[in-house]
Amino acid sequence: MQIVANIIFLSTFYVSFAVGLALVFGVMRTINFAHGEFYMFGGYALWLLINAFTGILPPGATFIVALIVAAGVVGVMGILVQLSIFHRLREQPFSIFMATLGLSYVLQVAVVKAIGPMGQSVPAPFPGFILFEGMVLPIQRLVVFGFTVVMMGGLYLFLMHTDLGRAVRATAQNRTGAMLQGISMNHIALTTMFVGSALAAISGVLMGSVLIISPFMGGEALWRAFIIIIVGGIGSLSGAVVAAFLFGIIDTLMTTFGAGKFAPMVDAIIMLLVLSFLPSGLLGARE
Amino acid sequence: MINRAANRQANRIFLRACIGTGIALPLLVALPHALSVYWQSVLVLFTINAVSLMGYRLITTMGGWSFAHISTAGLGAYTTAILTTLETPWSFWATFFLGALIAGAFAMIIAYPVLRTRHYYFFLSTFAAGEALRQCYVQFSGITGGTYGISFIPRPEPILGMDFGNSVGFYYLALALAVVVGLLLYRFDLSRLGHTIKAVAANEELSESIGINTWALRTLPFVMGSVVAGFSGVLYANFNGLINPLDFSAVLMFKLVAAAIVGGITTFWGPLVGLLYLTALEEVFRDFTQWIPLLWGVSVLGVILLAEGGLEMVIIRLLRRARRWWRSRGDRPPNGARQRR
Repeated sequence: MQIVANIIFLSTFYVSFAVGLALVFGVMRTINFAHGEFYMFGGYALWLLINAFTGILPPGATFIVALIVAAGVVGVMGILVQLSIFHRLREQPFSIFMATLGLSYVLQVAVVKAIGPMGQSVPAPFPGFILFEGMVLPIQRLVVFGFTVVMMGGLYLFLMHTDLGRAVRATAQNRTGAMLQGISMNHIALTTMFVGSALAAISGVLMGSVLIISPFMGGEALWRAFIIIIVGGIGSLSGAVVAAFLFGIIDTLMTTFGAGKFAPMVDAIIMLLVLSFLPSGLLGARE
Repeated sequence: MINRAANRQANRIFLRACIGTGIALPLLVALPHALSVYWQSVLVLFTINAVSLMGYRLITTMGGWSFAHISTAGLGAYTTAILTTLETPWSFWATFFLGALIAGAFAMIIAYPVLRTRHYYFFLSTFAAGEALRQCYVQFSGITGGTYGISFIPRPEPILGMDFGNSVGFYYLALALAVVVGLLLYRFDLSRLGHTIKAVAANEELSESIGINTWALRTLPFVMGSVVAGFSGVLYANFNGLINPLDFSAVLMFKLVAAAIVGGITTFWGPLVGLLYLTALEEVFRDFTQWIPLLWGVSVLGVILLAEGGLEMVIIRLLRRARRWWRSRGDRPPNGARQRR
């Protein structure tokens, strides 16, 4: 049973990290390489706020404050990236990709110089654990799981039931068609970058409470997220969720049965097989 | 007829490049003797990176920017590291070719899936494949030494009286490889095949419709470039004497990509100019190692946002202006003549 819990915890991590990347890709048709660094900023936001508010606020409240602050601040950074890089280089997805790759190193070094290269960890804002049916369930992990579900639910409601969300989906499906309906591409791009970056930051706060926070945490998570969104079908949010669970199951099982060292290789082989036989991914639309 | 004329022109350009190399060679050979031991090793590493980068540029001509190049070079490095440190060690020269071959074989295996992808898909899939390969270097610690890597990798045994034990001797080995690889790849770049590869990159559907085997022409540069990467990896391992997975990390991949972007890839020498720039930056800020990726990142951002086409375009524009100035100088009447009139 512990395995099931572990699968859910790992998949939560994959989902929360990959979904923002998939959203930005689906709408902007290019990759924001700095997504990993935005995620890292979320982790550091939690660390800074926990250190600043120790004894002033209960850690649980700080955790929620960190979620809101990080989402807002990093979301605005996403808007700045949109204005300074994405908008200037529109129609040149390759240049955007390379520019954000350069940006990701700039941000990484900035954090290394400002805070230091060493990994940090925070005490769990919601300490303790529950024993249930022979499973050990740390409360913090359950909280992370709960917030991820809430985050995904919020994203679902936004995309499915608001006008702005519908416009975002329309743009992802057919850019020209959306433009002909009078949807402002600039507006949609700003919205998407704000939401996508905020999702990265939220994921960073959530994961920062259970993992080690370091300047390199984004880069380490990014290649797995690439595998997930490729297997899920680039731009497909439901595909990303399905693939995140698929890899959550595979990686957990491999680690549990002592084959953890083969996990990166197996993940890559699955990706290569999917590319060979289903080039548009599990749930991706054929382009 | 057109083909033959084009071929003759390519030969002429190539001959000029050979003569240029021939003139530069004595200088390059003499160069390490004027340098301190530290700068000699910088020079060796620069030459090894230049080899790898020339292979990388070949891959970019087919339209895809691979992110697995450095991990592929790692295959060459690990091949030589493992085989030359066995209890009955292999000869360096056997692993030199085997390492490159293994790198090429890896490229051929992943070519089928990753070359089905274009644009960003291609970056992502090669990035993920390369990083997974690097994770294998970490995880299979039984043969790769895990995060500690492999140490005490011997230098190549002497051949034809050449000793590779010191940096100067090793530099000559790297230089020989760079010259051979450089001239071969340059001739390839000028050839009809090289041009066809660029045509495929420019418009794949059109190329296919006139009967070009686009599949083969995308696989060929990818595999060839990876073989070159394998050679550079072998040299790197033997020069450094120890390797670990961090030697093939994303930061170094970024250095290659940044060199190609900062230099530009339209010309054969563009990426090398970029590498020269990045290496110079690295040495100027030698005491601030942590800042170096930031400086590279800023350079990439600067070139993309402000100087499209990279340094090569800046140089070409300057050369053109200089030539125009040189020509107009001859047309103008001498100063004295004007005064007399």
